Amino acid sequence: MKVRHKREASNLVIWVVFGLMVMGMGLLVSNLWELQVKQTSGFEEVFRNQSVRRVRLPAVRGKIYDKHGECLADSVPNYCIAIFTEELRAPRSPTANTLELMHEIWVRVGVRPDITYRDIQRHLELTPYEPLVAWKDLSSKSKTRWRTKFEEWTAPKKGSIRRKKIPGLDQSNALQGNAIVIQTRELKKRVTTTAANTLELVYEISERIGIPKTVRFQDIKDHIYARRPLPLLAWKNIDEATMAQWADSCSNLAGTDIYYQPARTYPQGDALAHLIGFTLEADAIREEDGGERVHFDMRGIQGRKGLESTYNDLLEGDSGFQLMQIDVSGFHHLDLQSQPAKPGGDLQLTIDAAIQRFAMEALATRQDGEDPAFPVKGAVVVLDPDTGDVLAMVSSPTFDPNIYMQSKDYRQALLKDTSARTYHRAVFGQYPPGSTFKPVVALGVLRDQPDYVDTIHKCKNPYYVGKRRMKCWIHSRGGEHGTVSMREALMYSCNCYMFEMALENGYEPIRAMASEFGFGQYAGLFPNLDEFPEQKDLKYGNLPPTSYNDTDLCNMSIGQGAITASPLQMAMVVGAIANGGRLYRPRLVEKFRYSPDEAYNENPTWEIRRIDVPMEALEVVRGGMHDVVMHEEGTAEKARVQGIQIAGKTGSAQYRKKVDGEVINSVHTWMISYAPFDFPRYAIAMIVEDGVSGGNTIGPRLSQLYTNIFEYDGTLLGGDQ
Amino acid sequence: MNGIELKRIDWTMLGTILLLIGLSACFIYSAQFKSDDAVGSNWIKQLVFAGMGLGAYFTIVWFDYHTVARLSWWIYGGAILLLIIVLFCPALNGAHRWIKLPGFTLQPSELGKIAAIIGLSAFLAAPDRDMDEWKTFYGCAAIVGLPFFLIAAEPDLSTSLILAPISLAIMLYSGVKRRFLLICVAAIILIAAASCIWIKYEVTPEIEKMTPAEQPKVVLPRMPFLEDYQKGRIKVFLTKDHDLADAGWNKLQSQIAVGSGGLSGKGYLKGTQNILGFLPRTVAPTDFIFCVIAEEIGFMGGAFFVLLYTVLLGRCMRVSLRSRDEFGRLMALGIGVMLFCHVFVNIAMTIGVLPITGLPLPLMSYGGSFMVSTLIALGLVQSVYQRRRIR
Repeated sequence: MKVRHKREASNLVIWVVFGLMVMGMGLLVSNLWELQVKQTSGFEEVFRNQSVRRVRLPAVRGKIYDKHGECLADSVPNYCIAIFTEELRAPRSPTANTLELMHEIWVRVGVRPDITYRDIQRHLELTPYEPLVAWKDLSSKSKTRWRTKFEEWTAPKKGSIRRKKIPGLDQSNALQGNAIVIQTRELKKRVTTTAANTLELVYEISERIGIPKTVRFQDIKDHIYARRPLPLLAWKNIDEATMAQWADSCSNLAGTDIYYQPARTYPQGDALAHLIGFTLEADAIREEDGGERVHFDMRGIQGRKGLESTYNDLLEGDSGFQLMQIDVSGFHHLDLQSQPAKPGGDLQLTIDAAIQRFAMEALATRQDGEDPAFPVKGAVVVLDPDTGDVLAMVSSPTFDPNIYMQSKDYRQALLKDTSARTYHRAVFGQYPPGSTFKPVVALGVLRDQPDYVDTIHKCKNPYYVGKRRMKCWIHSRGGEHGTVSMREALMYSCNCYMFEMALENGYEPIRAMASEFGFGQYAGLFPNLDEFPEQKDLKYGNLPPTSYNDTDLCNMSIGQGAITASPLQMAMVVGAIANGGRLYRPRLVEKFRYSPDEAYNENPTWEIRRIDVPMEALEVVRGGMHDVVMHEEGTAEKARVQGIQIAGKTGSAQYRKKVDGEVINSVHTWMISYAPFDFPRYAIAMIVEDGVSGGNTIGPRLSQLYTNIFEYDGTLLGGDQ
Repeated sequence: MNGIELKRIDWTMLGTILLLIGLSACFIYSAQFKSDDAVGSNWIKQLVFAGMGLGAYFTIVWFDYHTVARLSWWIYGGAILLLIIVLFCPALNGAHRWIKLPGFTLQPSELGKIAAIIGLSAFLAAPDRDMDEWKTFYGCAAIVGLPFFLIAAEPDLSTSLILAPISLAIMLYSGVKRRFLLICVAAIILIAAASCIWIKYEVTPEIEKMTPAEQPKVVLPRMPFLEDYQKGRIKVFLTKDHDLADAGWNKLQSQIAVGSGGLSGKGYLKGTQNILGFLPRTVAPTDFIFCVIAEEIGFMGGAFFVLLYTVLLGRCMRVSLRSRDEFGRLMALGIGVMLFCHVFVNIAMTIGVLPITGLPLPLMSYGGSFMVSTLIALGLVQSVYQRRRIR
């Protein structure tokens, strides 16, 4: 038999083990000291980053004025009823619980409940221990839907065989006949979520003011999940009556207040829709922009089209930021510091709102034979020939940006509209210039051969170029112009003269002159304001470098074929003819400032080039254009205004289009014009798509526009005609 | 000799236990009181569990622990049976750790540890045991090895690993030949070192995506046995890489929470870190409860808790010294070591010294099975003390 070990040695083991334990605990304490006391600053910073939130506050957007200071784009507050969810924490409310359950069921049934908020309140006040019938008469379709959804809803958790119990619903007997029954007694003592409390408040406000609720329960849940410290905008864009009613009946409710969002309004409505554009909700800020992270973005508005978009940076100002600390539940706790928003700068345009309105009215006025069922499609550009200032720029048909910004339906409808209402025809529309190109052709030839002015050509019917028959417009009416001089050719708009002249001189002089007049080149309507303007070498419109053959050459000599230009370009051309050969860049912004307290900076006018053309030649062309309107045989006698000498040139550019699979010939009717003849102050290009002829379609419109303009600026005394 | 004699109760130990339970309820409340969707009443549940545990505690104190010694093989057998049953229960979160019973879930591994301690103590305390024989060593290895592999198969590696230091301490104390123990220790160290190296250099999907030239020079094939998440946690620990999946996230957030506590903490109920959900709400009241404590009452509070546990362990060791017989001595020692391992590993994991494991903090973490089984173990210790040697 062996002797067992002595006990004393074993007691030592216990002491050793305990010693190791104490050492272990000492190791923990020393590590804790290291982490909590020695390194604490590092972790406190990390912690601060985790509990501090950056909120972006949008700045007040700058305004846009017209030449005389009339406001074209203004910032206005958009009033909202906001709910501050942080004030709605914790109170237990059976009504909120019931509403929450009702919404959860609603999502799954897909049919409106048969009870109202008031019904629920009454039920909970009077008979809280009775079941509440929320859906009375369900169709069999929604019952089937409810059964499958209920099945999914109460599906047992993973690893369990018991179905989930939904408080307030009988496990087996939720659907009684055709009705869904809520057991309100089960909801009476339950903890209420913030989302449910918010929902109850939304219903309460809706009931008191009498406006339908616009926010879904899901929106509320999302808001509380993601943007808890910020106000929930339950009703946006409310009118004054609603606001008064809110102040009357809801201001004693906890957790709700009036809040305003920045919004934009355009007093001129649809008159400047294309030019000024519109704003929509701003993009979410990108992290690389601000450098620092923004947790909550009170989205402002952002220019999306036209000037609002081009000069968005200037108009927008600088967003402010607010740092706020959130408390343990993620609600707003303390404002730490804020950097106020810097308001945006203003623009003063060269546009004259009155002339803009005249131009719009003139374009919209229907002439004989025009179908009032279709909108007038066209554009007008009015320039000041001495500076290149754009006085008016109209595209038609147009749209109302004020409605556009608010109504999604309106935006959808515009997308389907066949007349392309949002298309800025005056700038981006490209049309063959037709006969309005003829003055440029004449100038091109006259620069090379000043003597050509005396050349006479015969307009005969039929007229052949090679084997192809070409027409002067008068041929289709059974006449011919006979023997015409250059000035007469412009007056009559005789094609044959142009054909002969082009065939004798070739394409090159025409192309060179057209190029100097800015055909096929970038016009530079929206330059960067703080940089020296630079003529960018961009293509804009089309000017072919060569002609293929004689027929092509002849076509181009009357502004048909491959040559295209925008109404803005044609206005620049007529402006250059009117002012003696100086091609100005069109100027839209007269003055600008970066903030409302600064002085305005001038945006200089800028001459693109001085067109090299002899004065004599210019006189001949100007004379021809004078005759177009003022001569009794001119093509545009309908454009005359009593007492004013007007020069102009009509044009009708034929093109083919397909309507319902059928090819029909149609005409873009043009007119370029300036007035008064001796000292021009206005240069106008006007186009109407699918018109009759330049003289008949545009002439009367131009006359109306000139009358209004000259009455407005005092040249004509209004009302004496 | 059944019965409780109040004079013979170790009041220091009981007081420490009650203080820890009370604080546990406070901090579980703090960890969950603000979350919108939380059950909110977990602290009450915890108190209910503690009540049940204390009931078991006093029942066990009342019984003479020699009854336990006599029944040791039944207890051990029952625990092994439960450990086998649990493997056939439906898996929860990918592990077969819980037996669902009406009203509560049972975690047999907690009982398995105590049963292993009882079994081993009874085996070694038997009067005819010869400590120098290989037979005894093999017997010990079998008694510990069976629950070890059953728990590891659940899989719950960290709980099963706890058995190693417990059995080592018991065997050392009872005088098993040192040579045997040295072999064990050497084997454990070797396996641990090998797996650490393996995990650090093994082939991962990221490495597989690289071209051969870019791959690190030392690459070992995929490791068997360990689950991916376990490897992930160890890898986070070894590489100090915080971005690795969610294991890294928990570790980082836990460290931030503890670190931002500072010397005196942010104040009770004011710990932002856990309630804002940076520390996942599911683990805050369970495995990461110490994190809430350290954040809210700072270093001083954390150190106080460590002190409380040290007192508790010291009392266990004292019971072991004062015990009337070998069985009581071994059992008290084993239970003391078990508690120490839990406390040490849990706190060390919270402050980022050890990899993340699923070991809860005794008497503090939320959880019924663990609360009750810890109190049963402490009841056994108290029962030994009741019937101690009186000088």
